Amino acid sequence: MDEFDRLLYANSQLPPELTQLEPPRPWKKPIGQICWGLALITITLNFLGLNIILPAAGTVLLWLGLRTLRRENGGFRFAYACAVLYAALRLTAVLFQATPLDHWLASLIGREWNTSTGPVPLYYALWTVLIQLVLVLAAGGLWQGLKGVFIQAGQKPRTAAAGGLVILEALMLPMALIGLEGWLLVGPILILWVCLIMSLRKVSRSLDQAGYALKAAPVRVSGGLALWLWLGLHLLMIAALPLLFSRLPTNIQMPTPVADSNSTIRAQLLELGFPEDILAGLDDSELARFEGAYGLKKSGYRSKDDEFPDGMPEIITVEVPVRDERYGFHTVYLAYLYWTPNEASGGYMEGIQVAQDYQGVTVRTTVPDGVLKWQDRAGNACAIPLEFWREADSAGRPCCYANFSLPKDVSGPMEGFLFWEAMPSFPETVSVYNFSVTAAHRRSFWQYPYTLPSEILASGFYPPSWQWRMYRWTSEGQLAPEGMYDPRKY
Amino acid sequence: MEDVQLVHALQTHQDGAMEQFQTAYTPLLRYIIAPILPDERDREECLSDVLLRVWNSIGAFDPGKAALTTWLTHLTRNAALNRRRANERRREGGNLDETLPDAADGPEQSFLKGETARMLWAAVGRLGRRDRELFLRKYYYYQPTAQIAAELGLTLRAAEGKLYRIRKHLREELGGVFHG
Repeated sequence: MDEFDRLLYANSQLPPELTQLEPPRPWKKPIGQICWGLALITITLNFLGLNIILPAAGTVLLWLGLRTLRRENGGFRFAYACAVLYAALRLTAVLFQATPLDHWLASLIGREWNTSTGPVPLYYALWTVLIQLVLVLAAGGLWQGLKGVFIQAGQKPRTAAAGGLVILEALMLPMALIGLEGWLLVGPILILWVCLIMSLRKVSRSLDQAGYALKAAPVRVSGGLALWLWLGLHLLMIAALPLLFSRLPTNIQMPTPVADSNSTIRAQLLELGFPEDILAGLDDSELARFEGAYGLKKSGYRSKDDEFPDGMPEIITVEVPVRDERYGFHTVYLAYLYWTPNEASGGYMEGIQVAQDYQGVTVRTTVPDGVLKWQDRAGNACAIPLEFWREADSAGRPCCYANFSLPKDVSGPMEGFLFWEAMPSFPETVSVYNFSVTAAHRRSFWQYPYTLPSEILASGFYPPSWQWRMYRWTSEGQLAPEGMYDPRKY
Repeated sequence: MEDVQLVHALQTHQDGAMEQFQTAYTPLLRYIIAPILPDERDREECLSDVLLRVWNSIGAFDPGKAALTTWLTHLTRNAALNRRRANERRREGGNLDETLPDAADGPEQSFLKGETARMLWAAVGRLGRRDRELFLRKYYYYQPTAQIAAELGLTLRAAEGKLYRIRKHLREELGGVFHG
């Protein structure tokens, strides 16, 4: 203690004006932090990234508030443990969403959960339950902790607000699982919730009288520093991790060239009007699909190299009905994708959606087989098989999807060939068969949460943004037996 | 019972008012006394003394001037300090705590001290809310820095750093007053 310290002590003994004195209120700060924490966690604002920043700040505030109180009684200790677990779960959720882990776990569990707004992966439902359950337990611990303080002081517990909060937070669990939305329901609950939080804030005043035996726990990291470190960690994970996963792995194959043994089919297809340049890109096994062709319709359009927007392929579709011993006939569809040399390599992620028979005409269709073909800078022919899978889109239409990244070592254009077949339910009649092929191109190197092109494609068709661009080709086709097939129809 | 009703009950010496007061405010009084008086027996005696003072002087309390808690903490803190000072004086051959003021000030010295204190409190009043709270806890309520740090969610080092900056600021603002 130096001379100045002694003078401060000596002079502060002379009474100041009473209005200048503020009695210390040790409960005010932790209870305030807890209230703000719960508020920021629960109220979600879905713009400017606030849906991430505010819950992150709320989580750390809840933890900080309970950290101060954890020595007071068992209730607070339990709530503190729950707050730590809650913070860990929240951070894990951010980590998972910044990387493909979320998708991997969702596909591992596989099953879906039906909400009033549509099915969601069961994994997301379980995750929601777990996180909210821990928050409910933390609120429960807080309630019991506050109760304990009043009882210890021989006072009547004034903890109705904390009890109400527990009930309300618990109520949010089934609401989230059922998918209840709309202001008519959420509005009154929100008002009630705000009233409870404000009442809880006022409890600190009662506690100032009841609980001055507060045994605040010493801390190793100051609250402010902890808050900024926590937010910084979130920022780092959100900013940096998606950069590591901006591309999908590419399974490049070097097909061995084989002698052309299907010159008959080739000549036949050329006669029917098959585009020569596209035909030149097909190998024997692909050509074999068209054996027994008796008609052809091509659609789509060609564009000059500089006409297409960035990352977008041009899409040309070819419809070829072929004779079939089992069904009488079936129709082979080829969607040809062409990326100009400027757009053929690198980039981030691409996705293809093939929506078949979306007008509901009954046909059986196969999942497309797809392949990308190009030449590398050394002049080698390369290929990547595209793996399609079937999944309903957000409107419930059965669609097929494939995700991929364009390889980096490309010389010249990139070509994609997608084949699928449609078998008629009634081979003796002419059926309409409509389909669309949509390409999605991810334009940005960063994206949070991690989203695959197929998810964007399944959720709808969107105008260009800084992150995504889409292009859709819709075609009207027909399934008609030989003699009844007319490519000019439809 | 609200503060206003409790004060009224105490002022009119209603039955049970003191019991209610004790239930509601004893933890607060203990909290104020604890850092000033280290001995448990001293604390209990001081608490009894404060309760008696409240009973006797509640009539002088004006709710328009200050909140009940402010008045109580002021009263309690002064009572605890007086006891501590008396203990120091009683201690045979003991040294007086240098932080405690000399009781034998003359009128001129008292005036000067009063003037210095007025300037100090004016400077404290100009501090930010958080700094003012820290100052009051440390120099008015005599709370140990470790307690202040824990209750405010600060590390001991951070609390010491903040107090150092407050002292430095006050030293600069008060300048010659405290050097003289």
